[in-house]
Amino acid sequence: MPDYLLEIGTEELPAGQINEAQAKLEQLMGDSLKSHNLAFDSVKAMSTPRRLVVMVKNVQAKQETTTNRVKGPKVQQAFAADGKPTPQATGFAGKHGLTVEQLEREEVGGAEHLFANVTVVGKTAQAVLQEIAPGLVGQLPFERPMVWGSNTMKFSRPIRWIVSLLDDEVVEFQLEGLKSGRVTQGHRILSPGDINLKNPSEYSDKLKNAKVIVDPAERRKAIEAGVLDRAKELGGDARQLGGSLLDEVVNLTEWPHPVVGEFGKEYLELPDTLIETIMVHHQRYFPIEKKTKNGDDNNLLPYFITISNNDRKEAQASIKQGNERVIKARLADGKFFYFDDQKTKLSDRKEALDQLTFQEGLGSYGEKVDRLMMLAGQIVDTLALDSNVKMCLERTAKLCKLDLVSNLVRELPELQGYVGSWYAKKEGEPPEIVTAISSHYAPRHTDDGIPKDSVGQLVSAIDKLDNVVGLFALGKKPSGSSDPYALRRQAQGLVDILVHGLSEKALSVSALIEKLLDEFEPKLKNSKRGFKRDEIRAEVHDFIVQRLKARLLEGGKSREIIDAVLSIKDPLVDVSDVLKRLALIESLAKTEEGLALFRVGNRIGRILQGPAGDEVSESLFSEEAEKKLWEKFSKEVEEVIAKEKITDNEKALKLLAKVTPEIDEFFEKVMVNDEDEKKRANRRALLNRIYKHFAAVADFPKLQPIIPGGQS
Amino acid sequence: MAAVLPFGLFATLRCLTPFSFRVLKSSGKLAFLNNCGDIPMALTFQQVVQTLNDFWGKKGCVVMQCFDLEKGASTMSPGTFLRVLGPEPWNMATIDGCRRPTDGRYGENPNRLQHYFQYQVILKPSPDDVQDIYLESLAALGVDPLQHDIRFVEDNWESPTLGAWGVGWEVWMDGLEITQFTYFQQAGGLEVRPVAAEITYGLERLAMYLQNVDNVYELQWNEKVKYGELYHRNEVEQSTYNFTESNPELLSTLFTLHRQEAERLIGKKLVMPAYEQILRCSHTFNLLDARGVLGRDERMKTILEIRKLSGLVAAAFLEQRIEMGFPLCAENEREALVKTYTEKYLVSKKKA
Repeated sequence: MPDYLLEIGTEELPAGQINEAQAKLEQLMGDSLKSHNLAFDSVKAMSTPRRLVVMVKNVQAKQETTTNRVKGPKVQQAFAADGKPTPQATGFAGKHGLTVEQLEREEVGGAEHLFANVTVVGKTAQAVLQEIAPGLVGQLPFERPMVWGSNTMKFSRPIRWIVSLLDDEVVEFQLEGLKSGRVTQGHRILSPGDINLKNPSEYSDKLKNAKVIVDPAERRKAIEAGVLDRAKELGGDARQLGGSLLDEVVNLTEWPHPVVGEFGKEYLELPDTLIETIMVHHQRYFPIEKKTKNGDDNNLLPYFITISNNDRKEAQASIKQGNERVIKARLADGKFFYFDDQKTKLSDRKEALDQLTFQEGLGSYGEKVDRLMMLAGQIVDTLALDSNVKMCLERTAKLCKLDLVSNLVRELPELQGYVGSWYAKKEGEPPEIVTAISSHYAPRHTDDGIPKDSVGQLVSAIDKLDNVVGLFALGKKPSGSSDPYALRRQAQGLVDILVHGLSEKALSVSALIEKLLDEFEPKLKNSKRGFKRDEIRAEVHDFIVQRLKARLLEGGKSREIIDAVLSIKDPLVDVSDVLKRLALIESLAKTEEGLALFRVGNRIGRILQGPAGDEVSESLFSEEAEKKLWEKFSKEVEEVIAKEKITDNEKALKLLAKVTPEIDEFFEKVMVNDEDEKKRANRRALLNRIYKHFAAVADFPKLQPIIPGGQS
Repeated sequence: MAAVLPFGLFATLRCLTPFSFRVLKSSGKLAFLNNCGDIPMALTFQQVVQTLNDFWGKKGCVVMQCFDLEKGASTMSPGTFLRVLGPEPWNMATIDGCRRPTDGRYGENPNRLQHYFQYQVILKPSPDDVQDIYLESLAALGVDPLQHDIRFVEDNWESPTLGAWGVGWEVWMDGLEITQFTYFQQAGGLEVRPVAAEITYGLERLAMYLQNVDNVYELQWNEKVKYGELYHRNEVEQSTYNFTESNPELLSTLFTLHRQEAERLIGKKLVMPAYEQILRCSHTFNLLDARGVLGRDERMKTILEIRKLSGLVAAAFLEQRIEMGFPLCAENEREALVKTYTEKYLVSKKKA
């Protein structure tokens, strides 16, 4: 059976878009063949900066010929009184290429119908692919598709050639002026000119001869091995081999070749993060670090490895020299700013920060800092923080954005926070503040964690909340896949800090939201958009709670428990309390005693729907079981709670657990909804007194699905 | 307009003076051998320009001369910003002087200038072999691609003030960005169809590479005269003017006058005079920016004003070309194109 090769030859595609396009191409090709009933052994997509390729092995040469039985008109309507076929019958037969005589009859739904046995002759793979292939090209997703020349079709970058070969045969199709064929291109510079392909099986080898490794996995291996070898020769370890730099470099080269360059040792006095950022983000170099590392941000060796797309021996010297000149210039620039910036104290930059726009409509970064300080003050007032943490929190809030107006951050925005922390350290700020100035931006990307230090966590939480509330107030909330301000990540970061970082602290996010609304209201109420306070509050609240729920679900908690715990009061008033209650319910769910509590809690919760008082009058009891319950409950629960001043939910529920047999007996023997109104109210009051202790933990009726036998 | 583009040494060529980085002051020794040894003598600055003029002239480009008003980038020259609009083919090459007042460094920085040169090529519609032609132009300059690592690395461009965007690459030679390559998709808020390719060489940077010097002022303009002789004093004086001696009050007044004049002239359908007033607005804005006297909101407001004017003048230019019957289009296509464009841009505009 034949193989099929489709190669979309392009001008250099954006490195960041190639992997997704390649995966999509593979998926689309497989799906299309399946939906066209063409079997195949395997489908594999590959790519280079200049081509997206998909190879299908052993494609079924032709679709199966199938027979479909198609229902036609009722026999009654198919023939006239004289027995001649009506136009309905002839039309139906004709449509399927048959005569009326060839139609069969069958009774369906009580009436006899005409049926046609229609033979569908399978199309050849050639014909099917001709149909499928052009459509695939149009379906590939690109972030910013473009048009080129006089064309109207869109793609990530201009398409310049198409190879479409089913074994020896070209599967012909056309995309605007461009015809598919059997001619591909090798390396743009090392092996220019047309390459004729006889069939798909010689594709990879012929391209290798033309200095192109088509399979990105193979290029990745070659780059990794090359970088490791060179690093070893230099007596160090390569950094960044695991991350996105490697992905990018794989997609920037067709014929990768490592080149080692050197830079002056005098730049090693700069923080590694600065050198590394310049190398990685701006030059796509792999940095090399010492084998033995100290704990500081100061472990790099004065070398870099660049992955060149040219392996000619004669070219190596000029490639090395050129790259060294560039990195030297960039490092010199970085060094100049690093030291020049330090001539101005961070705290003297506030005026400049007042001129830096945070968001149009929300004022400057200077005003943002004022808000952060106000929120920090609020936290200090409500949380029992020790005096050092207090001081650090307030000072970090004050300093943490000032590096935005440093020259170094203006040049290298991705260093925000790091730069501030370097300068703060030089100015002698305490280590907690130095750390928090940089950590408060965490998580910086999707694979990053929350700040590890508690000051950083607090500042990070208020900073993120300020971003979320501010942008929601401007109406710039995320929609669908569009989230230009990364607000989902910010809210998720906030939630993670609350769940994993501040899990012991009763930080009221809701109160902070209110404070922020107070700040934004005067700024925005006269704007075109206006300021719908209640709407903004509800949206922000819901946005954060959704993320909280999602995180708890990911943590393996059951949906029922989350709902039961979150629904009794605003979870954002105190996430630490939510976590405690969740843990309590989860631990109860594991014991007999706990499940008994769930059972009675659920039962009482259900029956109590609607208003109930809490005045219990013993004189109104008429049944033994209610007296018994009241006595035991007041003595062993209420009195103990009062005497020992118990505020802890868990202890209260433990006490209640002792009463569950009496509650069960109560429900067995006593009719709560008695005809006598007073008796009824009294019984409801009794249950209400009991349920108060349940209601402080969760909405127990919501737990019904997880109570054994609870479904019935 | 220029000043709202990303600022910084590390930013891209397009947004900046010709260098995105600083090099330490060199020994000043001038090597007349370029570092790859493919040709014996490196080109002087003026030979680089002559070579490019010659090369692109032979490729059918109109070789224009520097547009004689201040602009932040060659993209703002009417030969680019206006001529890419509409259906007419347009192939142009030109050296263009550009100004970024805030990038002035009093002639002390070996890599940063407030006045510098770009070499700008527009090819509309973008030819199918545009990358190959570009590589040929490097070869003409004595850069043999076989001796270097040449890469086309994604770089997209957007100018909110010009209502313009495009996608393309920075062209890297051994890690050094030497050219910006952009397929224009939109300008002045109007679709660019057919699409134009814009190739922008950073001339100083390229020449420094060819001559193997680390200080821009050490570039040989011709065999005898250095770049520094021609422009160093200018950098010192203009930096002084930009940062301390300009008169912000006068500049503010001028900005308003130029803006009002631009509006008045657009009303009269005098496209070029109106566009020139916009360029003056833009440069005056940049001068004000260099003084740091623009408040935040004022800055934003000003940018929006310029954007609006750019859009109006782009539309007026297109209207003018429609009325002129698209003289650069093929004779047999003109009538149909005029009809299509009239319906698309003039009739619908009047309805609106």
